[in-house]
Amino acid sequence: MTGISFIQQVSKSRNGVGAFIRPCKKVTLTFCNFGGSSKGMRDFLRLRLAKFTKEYPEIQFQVLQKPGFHPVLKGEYIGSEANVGKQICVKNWNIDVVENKLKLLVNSSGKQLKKPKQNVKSLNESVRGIWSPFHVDPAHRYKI
Amino acid sequence: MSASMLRFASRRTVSIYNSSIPKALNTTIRCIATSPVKTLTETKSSFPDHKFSYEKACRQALVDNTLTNKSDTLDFGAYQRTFKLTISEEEASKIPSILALHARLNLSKNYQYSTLVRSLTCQTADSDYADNLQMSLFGAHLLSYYVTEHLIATYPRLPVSILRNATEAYIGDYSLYDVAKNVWGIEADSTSNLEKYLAKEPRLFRFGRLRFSSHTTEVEKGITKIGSTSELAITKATAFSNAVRAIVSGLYAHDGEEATKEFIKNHILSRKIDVGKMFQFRSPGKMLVKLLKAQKMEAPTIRLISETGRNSSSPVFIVGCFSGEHMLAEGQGSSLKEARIRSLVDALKAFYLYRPLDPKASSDKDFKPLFVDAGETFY
Repeated sequence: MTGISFIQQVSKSRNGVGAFIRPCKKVTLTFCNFGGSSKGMRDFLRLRLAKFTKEYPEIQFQVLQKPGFHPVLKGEYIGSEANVGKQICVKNWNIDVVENKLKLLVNSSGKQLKKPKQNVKSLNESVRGIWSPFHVDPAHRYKI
Repeated sequence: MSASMLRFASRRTVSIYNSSIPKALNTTIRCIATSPVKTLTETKSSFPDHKFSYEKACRQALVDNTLTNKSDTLDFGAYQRTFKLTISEEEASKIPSILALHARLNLSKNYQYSTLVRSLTCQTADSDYADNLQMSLFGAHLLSYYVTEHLIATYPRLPVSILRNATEAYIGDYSLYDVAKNVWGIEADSTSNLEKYLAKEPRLFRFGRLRFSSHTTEVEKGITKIGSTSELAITKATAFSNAVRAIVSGLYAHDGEEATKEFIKNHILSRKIDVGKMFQFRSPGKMLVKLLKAQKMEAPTIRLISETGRNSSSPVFIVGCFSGEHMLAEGQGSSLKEARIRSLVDALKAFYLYRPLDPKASSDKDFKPLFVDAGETFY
């Protein structure tokens, strides 16, 4: 139709509104077979990893042996802002701590932890609208 | 496209409502047809460059020798492409990124891993593996159908150009690129064979990533070489979008129409677009005058409702657009002109952005045809 032209737009993702896709896509667990700091990690890999991975089929788990280094949990995430990834060194921690740290990584969005400036962050404008002095009842208008 | 297909396309009719509307209104259904004389006088022109990338995706041409020629060109089921190599289901189930993608998208057991592998392989010059061209073509049509249907049901009065723009916002190249890369986690296969060998990566793993022939190659970090020799080179956005389209068509093949519709609703239609911000009117006053005349309402009048600071540096005027005694819309601005324009634009948007309370698309089970209005004249 003449007189109406359009402004191109790209849709914005709203993860969770329809389908939810976990942002964590890959977790790498590195351990050392000899070092004492890796004991908790080795126990985790031997006793709990198999069951843990079955709960998260959407995440790739990679186990790497890194002799001489402390054990590290490394998470890789989906998303434009989150490509750096997160890593947690679990040296000298026991099996339960390793599992909890792994859960932290798996449940994260991959973004850096920040103190929010506003309480609400939304793509939608306010439902009731911003207050306007012109739309106040004339009896309650501010009189100079 | 053959001549017979061109003729078929020209006899397209547009009717939004089905036959259960009252007979008296049957005469107002619009038909768009080209003159039969035009096909005799006009020379066959090359296909126009599409404004929208989703339309371009629906018209992908096959420049290939793998397509076996059939004598009956209209027997669409008989077209076949032969490939030298395919990844089998057993091999595909060994690729971790494929298993992860399958679980991430919550695909059913029917959906085979080899289909996912094929969806991630775009047409390349030197590759003999089965590619996603046909799948992405079909997937583009599926997406176009369901998204357009949803938009027509939600915004019945939307002008056609805005409707197409809104569809592009949902399923255009950039949108689906965002879906593939930033939501689904599909990676592009960008490392060289040497790097893969040094990393001791199994040869099979590269099939779990998106493979396509690119216009650019990253020679080193920070240095990009532009220019490719391949005819089949596509942009990054198109490659990722084609993967999404192919995955959708794979879902149709394995799980049927209902599952595809649900999938598109969950992954594509759950995304946010702002249809109101897509409008750009050239002269809203004239448009509104025409519109109100067509709707048999009184001509628009603009009245100042309230104002402040007229002679100051920051005045505010609240202006209303009226049709007789009814206020159509309100506009505010720092000048009377600005406020007037805003009110006219808002009045037009109030008409075009009408939404029924419970929008039902025609493919829904509990669809009842909703009569909104007789439609608008095309100028």
